[in-house]
Amino acid sequence: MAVKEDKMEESKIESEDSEEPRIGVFVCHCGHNIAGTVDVAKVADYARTLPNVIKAEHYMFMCSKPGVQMVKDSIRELGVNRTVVASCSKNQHGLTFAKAIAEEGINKHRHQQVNVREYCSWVHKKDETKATAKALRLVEAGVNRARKLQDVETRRISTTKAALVIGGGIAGLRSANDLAELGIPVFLVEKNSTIGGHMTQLNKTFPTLECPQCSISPLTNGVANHPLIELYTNAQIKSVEGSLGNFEVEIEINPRYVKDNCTSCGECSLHCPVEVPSEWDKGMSMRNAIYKAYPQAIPATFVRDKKACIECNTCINICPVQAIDFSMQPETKTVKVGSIIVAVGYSEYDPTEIEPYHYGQEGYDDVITQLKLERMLSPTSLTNSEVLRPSDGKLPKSIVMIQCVGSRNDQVGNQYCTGVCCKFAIKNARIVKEMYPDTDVTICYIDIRTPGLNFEELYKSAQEVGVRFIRGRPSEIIKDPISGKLKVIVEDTLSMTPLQLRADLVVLSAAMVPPEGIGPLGSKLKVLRSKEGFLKEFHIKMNPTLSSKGGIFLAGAIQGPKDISETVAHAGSAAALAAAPLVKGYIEREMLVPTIDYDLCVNCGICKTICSPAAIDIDENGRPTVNKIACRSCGMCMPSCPMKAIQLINFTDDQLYDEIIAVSGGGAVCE
Amino acid sequence: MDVKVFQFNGCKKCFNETLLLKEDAKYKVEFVSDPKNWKGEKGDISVITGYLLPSDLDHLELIKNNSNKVIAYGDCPATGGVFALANQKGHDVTPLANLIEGSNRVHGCLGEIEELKFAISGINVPKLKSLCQVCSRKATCDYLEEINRQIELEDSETCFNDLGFLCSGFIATECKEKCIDYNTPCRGCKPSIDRSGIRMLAMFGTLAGNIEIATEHSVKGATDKLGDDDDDLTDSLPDVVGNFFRFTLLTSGLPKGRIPSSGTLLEDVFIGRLIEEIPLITGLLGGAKSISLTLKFIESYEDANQIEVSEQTKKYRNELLELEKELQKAIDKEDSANYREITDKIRFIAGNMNLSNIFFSGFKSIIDVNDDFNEYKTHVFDVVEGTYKNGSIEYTINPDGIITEIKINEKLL
Amino acid sequence: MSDCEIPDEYIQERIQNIVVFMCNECGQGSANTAGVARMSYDAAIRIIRVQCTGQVGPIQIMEALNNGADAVACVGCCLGACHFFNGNVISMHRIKLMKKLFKELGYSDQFVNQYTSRAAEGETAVGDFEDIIDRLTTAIQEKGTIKDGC
Ligand SMILES: Cc1cc2nc3c(=O)[nH]c(=O)nc-3n(C[C@H](O)[C@H](O)[C@H](O)COP(=O)(O)OP(=O)(O)OC[C@H]3O[C@@H](n4cnc5c(N)ncnc54)[C@H](O)[C@@H]3O)c2cc1C
Ligand code: SF4
Ligand code: SF4
Ligand code: SF4
Repeated sequence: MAVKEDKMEESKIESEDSEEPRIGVFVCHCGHNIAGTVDVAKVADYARTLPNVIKAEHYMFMCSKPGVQMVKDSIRELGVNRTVVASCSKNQHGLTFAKAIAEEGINKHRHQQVNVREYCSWVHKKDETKATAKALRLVEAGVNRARKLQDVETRRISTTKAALVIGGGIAGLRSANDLAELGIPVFLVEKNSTIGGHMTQLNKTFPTLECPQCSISPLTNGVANHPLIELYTNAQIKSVEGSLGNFEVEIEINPRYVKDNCTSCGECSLHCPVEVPSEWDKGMSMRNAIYKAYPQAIPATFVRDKKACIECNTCINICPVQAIDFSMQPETKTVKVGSIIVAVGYSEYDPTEIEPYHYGQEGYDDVITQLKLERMLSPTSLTNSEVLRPSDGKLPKSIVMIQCVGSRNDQVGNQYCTGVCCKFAIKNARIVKEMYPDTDVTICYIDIRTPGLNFEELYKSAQEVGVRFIRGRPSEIIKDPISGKLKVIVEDTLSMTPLQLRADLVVLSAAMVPPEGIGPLGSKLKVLRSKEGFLKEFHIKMNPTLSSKGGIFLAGAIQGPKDISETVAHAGSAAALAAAPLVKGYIEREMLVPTIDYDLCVNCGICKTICSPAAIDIDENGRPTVNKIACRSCGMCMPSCPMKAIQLINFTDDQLYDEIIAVSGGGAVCE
Repeated sequence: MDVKVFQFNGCKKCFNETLLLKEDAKYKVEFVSDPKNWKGEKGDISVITGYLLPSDLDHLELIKNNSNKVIAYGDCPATGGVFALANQKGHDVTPLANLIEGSNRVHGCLGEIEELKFAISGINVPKLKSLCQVCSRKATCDYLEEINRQIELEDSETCFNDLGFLCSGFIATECKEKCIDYNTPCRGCKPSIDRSGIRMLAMFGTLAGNIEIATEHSVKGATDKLGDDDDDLTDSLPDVVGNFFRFTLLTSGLPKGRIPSSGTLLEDVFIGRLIEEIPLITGLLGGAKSISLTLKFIESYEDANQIEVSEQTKKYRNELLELEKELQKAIDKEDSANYREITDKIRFIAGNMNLSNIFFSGFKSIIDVNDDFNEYKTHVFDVVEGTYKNGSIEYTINPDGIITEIKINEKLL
Repeated sequence: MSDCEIPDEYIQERIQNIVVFMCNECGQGSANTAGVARMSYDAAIRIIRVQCTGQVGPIQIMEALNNGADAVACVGCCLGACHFFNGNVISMHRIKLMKKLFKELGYSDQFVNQYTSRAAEGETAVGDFEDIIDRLTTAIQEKGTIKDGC
């Protein structure tokens, strides 16, 4: 079939068919598979009586060489221009016949496959009369349908060989690196001043209790230095236009106020008079107004926090290489890419809304989250890796961890199970217990969920070192008014005993939730979100890395909570899928898309609402337009339209009607 | 040109409106308000108003045989109109849709006199815009968060449908009554497409795609299926027939209704309807008595539920009642100039001849630019189960606000 | 509605024609699997292939019913697994409103339905088909279908 190159102009995709439909019908015996149940001769005879049918035959094996030749001959000799083969499913041999007619110069979309095997002979073996009667209806429906079939052109769209990765966590880094290794130029956009995401904040990673910095640094360094990767930190996506294969993206880059010649000597921050809590350290330490998030941070260039800075100019004067420049301005950069990977990760759930746990309230400084505990334990921490109570800096004698904070709750937080918290809580509990054998470490859980290789072992190992597990969701954390000590109220549901656990430190295993700012980003990308707020995958099983929109892929925790292993695997898959059309250089799309009759359209916009790949846009006159490349041919816009104005080619209301009347006719009407 | 106007059954709103033909000396108009006793004399143009029953078809035949052209004026003869809702309960309101050629049907409730004139002269009506094209509200292209049966009148920019407030403007052509100008959603009396009710159902159902629906586990298929239980979707649209098919129940290809009748045809039109829709329905079918009928409905409810009604509202309502009386006089005298003058005054207050502006506790849009709208602006009211009466009507609503019983003294019409 | 008895054999004979719109993905998939496994179901079931159940509207359903179909159903992918995001759920909304409409008109709501199926499991499609027939049978017994006014 003729493949047209880059023909993008707006034209009605309609073959003006002046020629009369000439339909050839071929009924297959499939050995005895069909003919054993369905009277194929009768079906062919009946087909011959239908309007526009030029030829109707039955044959032993339509998919065999002679069978296919019969179809071809009918085109050559009788001028057949639409074919109906009544045999097996469309999946099985539909394409065989479609290809055959294409070889004879007929558009393959003019073939109509009628399934009289899987849908008829095989399932109605016991009733030949009824099966034959049904086959007649199915074939008539096929003929009716074939009558108005139109040509559908296939377009070749060349793709832009470059990719955009949004988010520089482990997922984004993995994807960016994989793409670059395939020779694809990558723009990596990270909203923070450093890359690495949450993984850099962790102390050790389960299940092997490895040092995350050591695992991730080859990747952070590799990405930062890769010749094909352009890294933008302090950057955000401003706008996204286009569709798969060819996007145009505006990136807004905020200045670091420190030029690239910074040697990372740290003199500036040493002398900066301003101190604010470090975000990266979850407030567990202080940083200056000019700073580097942490020693190994990449890019290593320092960054100035404009909001905190009092403009005393100390740093400007002290910098030995004059790298600091307060006059730097935000800039907007426009890039053209063929694929986009969204890897913006997650946020830790903020437990303040769970009133009985008093998180973040005055006097409850010793109620912290797991991420804070990770920071405390980490090698670079202010506490020198010791676990100390925030309230008085003392070593806690008893630590209680509470699971499912913000997870698995119908009333507050989320319904889903984060799936990672059991693992990191057990990890941290074991680490703490090993550090301080005299400290009581208790985990209150609803269920412990540690499936997969190594995780049951991790669970056991924690039990072995003496971590105590209590089954029950604590109802409240209270503070003894006299001693000021915290107590966790929980019922041990295994022994049915209500307990009050003394806790010097309470650690909440907070859920992983969609990252801040995902709403605006999602609407810029025009991708759909799940009801939980994460970006929704195309298909949960078959394609968990494609988003709802073609050309935009998901990597890592943005698609739903994941641990690092899952994140990395997911990100690799996203990279491979995103790379495919770029490596190939083009995409082929069948223009099986709807057309809009603007005489009928009333601009109600429901077609845009329903179009999940966002293929319909509203133009400046308020009219809907179809982006033929983004369209997935689902036809969902059709019945939504109150004015029958939008019609999917070869599935129009009229065409469906023709098929419906044939299929639904013939039922006895009760007198 | 001689024109005979025949009034069959139902309200006389359109019949009365044909008085306006007399403004043009070109038409020699004769009014036949009792076609059953009409003897049949040759004539040129016959205009049919009001709804028809099978028993009327003989008379129609007589009219057809004696005229050069028969025109159905208004939704009632054309499609069955609002009275066709009675067919939900097995009545036999019969549309002329199939008996009369398309160009000889003037749709609308009220039908437009200018369009009638076109039909009389045999000229096609110029292509009309869709109602949405002349509506100031704009679509948002978002799924609904909830479906609303009443809305506060705050937002005047967003399409009613996007506020979760069903409006059939999409399938309607622009019209003179323009309910939408009085914060009243369109119910599609002038459809621009066939089976408009079904199409609106599809459209609104789609828009409501995020509203919870009941699903259940299918034991046989071992998968999920659509459930039969009531859910947020069905609970928030208690009257699909009345709201989506108000004027097109008979022309939508739906089977005839089989709900047992529990009253007269007129009463059956009301049963199943929603309390908040009542003012518009009474406005539609009260004919020259629509104002008093509408106010009786409203006031009985307001009194019983102690809904506060401002002095300003009362003043306007009284003016309307006065106008109604005068209108009747003008009609009796067949005085078209006076008819026009009075209907213009009614329109000024009530919005249009369907009385779209009249509502519980006040009016839905500002009447006079010098008014303080807050003095009579309506608000969302509570649905209170109970039986309400006022003079010659008595009706009962259930907790969902659905009319379950009604008695109307037909003399009111 | 009268109360004439409806014998079982009558129902057997009566059910001639059920139009099932099946999506190109799991719907068709499961029906194919059922065929390959030589499962058996009533020959009244007639499948129309659509891209997604979201492509089927009340107009199509009414056309089928008005042309003689005894019942109409859509079969799509499992909830949350629609290949076009939410076509199955959207279609359910519309069908639910149609059910409501039929009830309001005094008919059974059991002859328009929507199901889901799994491509790899033919029994899900066959189960759906059986359920369609069960529901239709109920509707006929209650004399609630469009055709049964006898
Ligand atoms: C307390 C805790 C302990 C954990 N311990 C372990 C463990 O031991 N082992 C394990 O396997 N997993 C662990 N995890 C899970 C692990 O953190 C995640 O699996 C992993 O970080 C996910 O990586 P990601 O790249 O998808 O997301 P992230 O790490 O969140 O990275 C997202 C990146 O995107 C950037 N970003 C966000 N929004 C935007 C935007 N709009 N524009 C541009 N950039 C943006 C962010 O700044 C960030 O750099 C733990 C999680 C928690 C909460
Ligand atoms: S067919 Fe589907 S993807 Fe294409 S425009 Fe319509 S709704 Fe969108
Ligand atoms: S749904 Fe139909 S009428 Fe509405 S904007 Fe789309 S094409 Fe136009
Ligand atoms: S549907 Fe109604 S409110 Fe919406 S734009 Fe149309 S007329 Fe206006």
